[in-house]
Amino acid sequence: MKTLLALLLTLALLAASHAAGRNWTLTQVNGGDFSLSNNGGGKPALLLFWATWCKPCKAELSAMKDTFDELAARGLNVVLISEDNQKSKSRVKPYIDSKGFTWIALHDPDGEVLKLYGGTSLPFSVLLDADGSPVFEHRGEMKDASDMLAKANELLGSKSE
Amino acid sequence: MRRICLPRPTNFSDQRVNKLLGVLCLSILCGAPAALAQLEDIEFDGSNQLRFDNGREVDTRRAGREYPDNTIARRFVENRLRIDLFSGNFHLGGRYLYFRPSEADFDQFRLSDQNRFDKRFFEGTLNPFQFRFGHFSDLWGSGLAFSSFENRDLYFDTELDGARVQVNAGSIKLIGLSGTMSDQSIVPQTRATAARVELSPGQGRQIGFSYVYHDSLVNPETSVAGIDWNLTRGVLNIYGERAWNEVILQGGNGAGHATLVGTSLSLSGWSLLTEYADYDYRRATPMQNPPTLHREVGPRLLQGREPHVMNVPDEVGVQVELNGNIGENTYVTAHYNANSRHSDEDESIPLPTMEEKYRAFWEMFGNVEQHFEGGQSLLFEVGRNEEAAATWQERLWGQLRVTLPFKGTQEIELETEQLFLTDRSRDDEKFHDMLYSISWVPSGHFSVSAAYQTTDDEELQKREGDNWISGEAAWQFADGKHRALFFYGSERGGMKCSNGVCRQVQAFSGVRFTLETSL
Repeated sequence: MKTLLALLLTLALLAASHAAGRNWTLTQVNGGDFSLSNNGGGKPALLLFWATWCKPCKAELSAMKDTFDELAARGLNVVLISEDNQKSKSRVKPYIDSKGFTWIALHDPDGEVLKLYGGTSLPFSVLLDADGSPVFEHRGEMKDASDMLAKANELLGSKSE
Repeated sequence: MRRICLPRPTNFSDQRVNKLLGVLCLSILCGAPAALAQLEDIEFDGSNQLRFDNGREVDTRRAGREYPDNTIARRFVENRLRIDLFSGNFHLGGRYLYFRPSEADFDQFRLSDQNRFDKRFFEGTLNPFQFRFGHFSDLWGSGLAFSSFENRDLYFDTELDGARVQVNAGSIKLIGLSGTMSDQSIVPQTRATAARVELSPGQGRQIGFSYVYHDSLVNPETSVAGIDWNLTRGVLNIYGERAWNEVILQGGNGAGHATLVGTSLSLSGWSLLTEYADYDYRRATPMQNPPTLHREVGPRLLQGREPHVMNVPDEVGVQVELNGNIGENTYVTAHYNANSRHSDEDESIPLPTMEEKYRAFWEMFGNVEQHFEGGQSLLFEVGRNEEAAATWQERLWGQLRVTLPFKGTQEIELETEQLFLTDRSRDDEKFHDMLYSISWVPSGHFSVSAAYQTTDDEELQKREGDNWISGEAAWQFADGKHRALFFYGSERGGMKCSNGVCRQVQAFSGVRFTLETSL
């Protein structure tokens, strides 16, 4: 009975609350927390889920670096989300630093944020609009960025070149 | 007398909840997402993963027979449907699992049929509180004191079912949790209560204090206390953790400890990682999952040859890794690690020894990644290691991977691995394993690949066959909402490691189909 009441309360809270959408907070690779709603600055974002042990992830990041740099320069939050858990978490910062990735870099060691977007394998990419809603996703290594770029250009609107 | 306390779990589980989630699930499958989306302020999300295997696999219970007489039929079905509802600061989620393991899984891993909501939770934020009821996982510090997670691919699950509350008060974070591990066949049921204080006295400085209390039928009452730190100043990052274990055993207490110290220095496109670990837990619990001091996932041939599995209760190790750029298009990595058991001559700061009696594993490798102006790329790696714990083998390997784009968006990838082994436990017998693979990517949505592996190891040939040929196709459609993977052929068995968990998988021959879907 208690559980049923808890669930009803949950549903009541869901119905009563405002500002729909998912929010999450993760630890930054360089220290401190990053919250999608507080630190995202209301900008569209490209979430790139990867891990240091994932070869196609690293191949994608290297091959697409210029594209992601350009999108970041145009106002898109490019967010690297590492799925390395405690076994390999310490390799994340050295890899990012040596590769010269200057994007937002976060740890998701228990895969909670990956699950939030329906990710089941790596690499996995999700494009979010300014409200934080997913508008495009790609499973596996992104060999061709044209579909993602078309959506990103729509989101960036007047800022697109 | 050994004390066992297993109070009734404070889990969120209830048949009625499952029924309600069942109704929700059904409505989603019947097209309710559109209706839900019309309800103001509620956002729905979901995904589904279907996996189906049909073929034959090597059965360890038929060890006396030769391949293929030592195989049994493998029919395996798993479907995981995840559903989430978001509204403002609240989130209700669950996962419906339909699972029919193969006959071998029943017997070897004690897996059983499942048809139920195996995950469900409710979480929310009411500043300064964040709470979650139901299933959750967490990692504190480096994981020496507390690390719980699920790895479904390997059926490993230390997620807790209970409650977690976090209070964010400026630079201080307080976390409290209490729950029971899922009653999975591989990880024993354990009850845990834990608390943590995390202080962030300025940018790039963090220190945490953890306390964990466990109790289970397998691991008796255990207290773990830990302190961890992470300091970043300019180009230097220093981190580490120290944890103390106290296990209350029959007739007296047992105590252990663990230490991890690491630094990373990043300068002008180069990074140097150094780590030292002294794991002397004596008796570790399932929630103590500390970092490894070696690369866990390497070339594919190595993965089938007993990769090193760290012995958490007794291992001391060091690793050094240098990464960096030479010019604009060349990226290099050089790595060395050494791991051993504690020796009788240990000083107050034990170091890994290469003495035969204690040594467990060492490895060195270097690789070069070269990118060319035309989009071509090349990866070349050479390395050497010695596994002296689970088995006693010396291995020397080379790996070459070439990626060639053509006709605009198409791409061909060629890869070879050559592995030379000396098996010390089999009178220094020498073997040669080979792998060749080719992948064709005609577009960003579709790819096909083929692989060929062979060995001259007669024992392996008797157990798993002379060679392994396979093909795989991956197709992504509907704006990335769906991905289908189709595998046909045979693959070698071996130790499969994925994100911190290793498990022996058997050689398989047949069809495998996976469909991933975003709802």
